[in-house]
Amino acid sequence: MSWRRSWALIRHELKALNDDPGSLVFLLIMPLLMMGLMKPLFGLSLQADGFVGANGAEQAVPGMAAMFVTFTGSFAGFTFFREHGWHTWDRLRASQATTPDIMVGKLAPTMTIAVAQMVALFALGVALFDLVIVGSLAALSMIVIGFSLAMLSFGMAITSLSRTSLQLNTYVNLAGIVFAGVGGALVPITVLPEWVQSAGRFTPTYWAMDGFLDVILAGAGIADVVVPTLVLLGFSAIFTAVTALRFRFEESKVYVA
Amino acid sequence: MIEAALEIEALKKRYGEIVALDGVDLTVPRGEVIGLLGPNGAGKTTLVSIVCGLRRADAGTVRVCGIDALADPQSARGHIGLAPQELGVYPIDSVHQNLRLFGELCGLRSANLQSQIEAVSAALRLTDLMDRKAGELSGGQKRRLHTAIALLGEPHLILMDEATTGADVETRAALIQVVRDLAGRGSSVLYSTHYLGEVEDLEARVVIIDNGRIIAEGSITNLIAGNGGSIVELVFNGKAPILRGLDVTVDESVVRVRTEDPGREMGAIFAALGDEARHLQSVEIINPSLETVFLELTGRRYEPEENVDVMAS
Ligand SMILES: Nc1ncnc2c1ncn2[C@@H]1O[C@H](COP(=O)(O)OP(=O)(O)O)[C@@H](O)[C@H]1O
Ligand SMILES: [Mg+2]
Repeated sequence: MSWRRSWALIRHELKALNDDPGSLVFLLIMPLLMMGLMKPLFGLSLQADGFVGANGAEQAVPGMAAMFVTFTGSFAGFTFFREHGWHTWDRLRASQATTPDIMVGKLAPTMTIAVAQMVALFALGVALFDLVIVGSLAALSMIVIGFSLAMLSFGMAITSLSRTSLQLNTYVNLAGIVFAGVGGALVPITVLPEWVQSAGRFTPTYWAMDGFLDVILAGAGIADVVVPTLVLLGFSAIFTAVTALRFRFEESKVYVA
Repeated sequence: MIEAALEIEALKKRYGEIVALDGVDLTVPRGEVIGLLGPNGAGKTTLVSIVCGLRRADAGTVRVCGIDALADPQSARGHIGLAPQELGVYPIDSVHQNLRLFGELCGLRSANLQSQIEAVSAALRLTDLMDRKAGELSGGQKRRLHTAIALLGEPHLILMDEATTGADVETRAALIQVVRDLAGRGSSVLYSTHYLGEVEDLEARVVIIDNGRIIAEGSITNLIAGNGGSIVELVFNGKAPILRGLDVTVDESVVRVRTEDPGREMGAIFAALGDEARHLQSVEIINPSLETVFLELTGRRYEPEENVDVMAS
């Protein structure tokens, strides 16, 4: 593994992102609009659950952040399909960059984007929607990192199972909405039927929301979010194992621009 | 003795039922250019891809500068510059950014990187295009950038797979000149192509591949000298007649007459034909060339585009 080669690839990916800010704006603007829309409704729901002072941002901000980071996960896979479309994938593989160099070079930027996206959404949530985070910011960061990792590795697992970029997009985006729905991001988990609540435990989103709400509403600290963080890392490990088993470096993927 | 830049022995590769390489032996000595000539589907891209570890071999050995490339592809790649058949450049990046990325992946840095970028872009006439986006270049300019990337870092072995596909005349000339210059400076080049004329322009040793087998190799002069003279090809309506007293091969409606002097032989051919000349559709003289060599070795005309080939994926 050569950091210099990875760094060359990282810089190259970041430049590509910088050249096409449109999709990044989408990753921020859309969730902000949704937060604004959902906040009053969530406020009522939280008050009914006994959080008297809640204004709704406590659910809307982490919920929309968790839902929209999924699309960043599919973006990670997309950058691989794009290499196939440009016929640069074989060139990278034939270069002196090793497999780890290429993986780090391509995934580190997306991971950074995912974390930055969530941090920005929480910060804007505080600034625009009067979000009050009672608990520890360090604890919140642990969940942010764990969840970003889980969704990124989910995107990679689906990438390794997809042959076309259309499949990738469809599966990841569908999963993103399902995860958000049953995991308590799209609507508060308490309003969902019992069986959905138990099914939700099998999604990373459930554990992320569990951690977020614990920190935001109940003032949780680092020790309190160890469990959800570990579960998120467990999800990441499973998705990464699928990727490792299924990702074929010599496979030619179909990328339709 | 210094080892060859590339030594391939008994290389085999199948894709399911299709035998792409059927026991290929091939050597590219240091500082030499080898023209790998073969019609579409002959196995050129498969061979090149195995050498740089993009595809797995079923059997055989590949040594790049003495390194076992099948066992240790990573080390072998340190000596290889590949220009794949498919045009592979980043369209959203400028020419300079493309060269820089791949230069950095070769391990080049700072002054060294800059001088390499300047050298390869001068060789391929890209100097005035450095700030243009690769996606906005013409087909020939893209090809030149695509090839320039393979030359970064002065690799010992340069693999060029159908380097002139879609190239304009200027690009083709530049590419051929570059290959000759590289050889002059001690690099070894394996230049795969399905154009007969191109290998002739290269003035290199030729290896002819057909259906996954090497069917001939040597200098163009020797190959031509070793494989007879001219050929007169007669195509008939319907089945070809029997021509006595001539050195002929018959293939359905086609008769090929081997001769040292086609002009003179014409009289004898038409005398032998007699009345059958009525059924004659065309007459062609094929002068001694790689074309006659291929015909002699395979019994088929060299028709590079005959087997419609999916561009190797
Ligand atoms: N990925 C593949 N899957 C199946 N068959 C392939 C594949 N790549 C090449 N082939 C077949 O292998 C043979 C050799 O192909 P190739 O190496 O691309 O030849 P060339 O480069 O000389 O045109 C052809 O018959 C081709 O159709
Ligand atoms: Mg080919």
